[in-house]
Amino acid sequence: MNTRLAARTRVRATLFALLLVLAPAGAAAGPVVPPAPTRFVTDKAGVIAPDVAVRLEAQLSSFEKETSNQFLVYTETAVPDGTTLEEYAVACAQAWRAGQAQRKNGMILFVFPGSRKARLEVGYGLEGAMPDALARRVLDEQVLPRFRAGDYSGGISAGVSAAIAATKGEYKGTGQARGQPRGRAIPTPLLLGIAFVFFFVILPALRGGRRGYSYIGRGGWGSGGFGGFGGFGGGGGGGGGGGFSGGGGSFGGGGASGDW
Amino acid sequence: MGKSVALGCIVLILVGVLVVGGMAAGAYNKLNAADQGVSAGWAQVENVYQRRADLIPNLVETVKGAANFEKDTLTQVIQARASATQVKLDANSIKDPAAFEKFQKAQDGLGSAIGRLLVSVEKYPELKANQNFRDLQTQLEGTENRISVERGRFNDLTQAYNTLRRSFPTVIVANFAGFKDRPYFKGAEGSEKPPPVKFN
Repeated sequence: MNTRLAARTRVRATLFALLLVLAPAGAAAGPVVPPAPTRFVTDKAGVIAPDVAVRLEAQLSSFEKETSNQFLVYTETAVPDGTTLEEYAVACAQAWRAGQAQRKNGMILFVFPGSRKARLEVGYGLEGAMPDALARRVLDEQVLPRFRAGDYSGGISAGVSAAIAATKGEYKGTGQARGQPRGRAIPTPLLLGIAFVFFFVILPALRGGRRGYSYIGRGGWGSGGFGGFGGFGGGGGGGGGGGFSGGGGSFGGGGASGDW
Repeated sequence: MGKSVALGCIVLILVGVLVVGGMAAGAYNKLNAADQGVSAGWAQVENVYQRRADLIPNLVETVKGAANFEKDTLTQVIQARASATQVKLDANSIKDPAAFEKFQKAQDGLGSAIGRLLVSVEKYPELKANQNFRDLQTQLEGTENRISVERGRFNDLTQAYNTLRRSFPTVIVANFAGFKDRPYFKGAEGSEKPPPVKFN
């Protein structure tokens, strides 16, 4: 009896160890990405006038309601060391998941006043409505000239309006504002867990007499399942006026950059 | 008592078989998923390379129009494009390091030929002022950026797959089922970063 119990404990320990080994391997390298914004306008560099920021926030929020496109504005003092504007922008965009998962219709205007660089990053799904050449024109004609004159608020608002005008009509709005929680696939090993419970708990119980197997099936020792895609802890979002919550969009480096 | 011990043993063995089989199946499925992930990443890489190749005829036409543009630079781009589009990798040959390297070399060759062309354009102000050319330049720039993004993601997926493939006990299943390490893009010559050519 004792040896059997010991054996079983060992099996359990081994399974646990195997589980650890099977845990997904570490994620990939790349630039360090700041946490996802909770608003449409994030002015870390402090270059947007407060009233303009409020207006832009409302404009972008209603843009999402109308078209489901998620368009963010993000400023930071400078492009972090050890990365490039393009690399950093796409890494942030991909991590924040602007845009709806199906439509991949996210877009982000990045402004780095200290580096004198800006980029309009365009999600996969908007590349048709906002091809690189058009993104470049928005920057060249609307944004950068104003930046050169020191007018960040003006440049950003003009850029936002021009980009919205350019993309409008590509998708008719569903007004969907939040990412839906994703269902998780049931891992196959769950079935094996059930078999495990059957053999260890039910069968012995049926055989009667012998007790003391206080085995609680823990839903199986499944190898961790396939950790859904980019899942999105959906929700929350700070105070009143909605704010931004990434819908699961995806970016492949579309858009254009400019400096001034 | 003896009978029940024997029965217990049988149950234990059955459980053991189930557990081992389950682990093997789980490992196989995970390997397979990771492998499919790499293939999907590869499809994206091919897309963006194709996109670049598709831009070139247009670029060549536009540049040709400029007064006495250097023939050599143009010819090099055309040739590099021809050899890059010749090296096609199908789902199986991307698992072959030698074929993979050949592909990368051809594409990198095209990349640097385009780079040289865009540098020499600097000497032709009327070309630089041409709106059509500027759009093309932007598209090329965007395409290079997409290439580096998709290559990076392909490498990440490949790395995840290779790590999984080599981890214990998955490696046993991998060897048994014939899953091999998959090659990835070498970052040499700054190819991981967007090219140093500056468009203005």
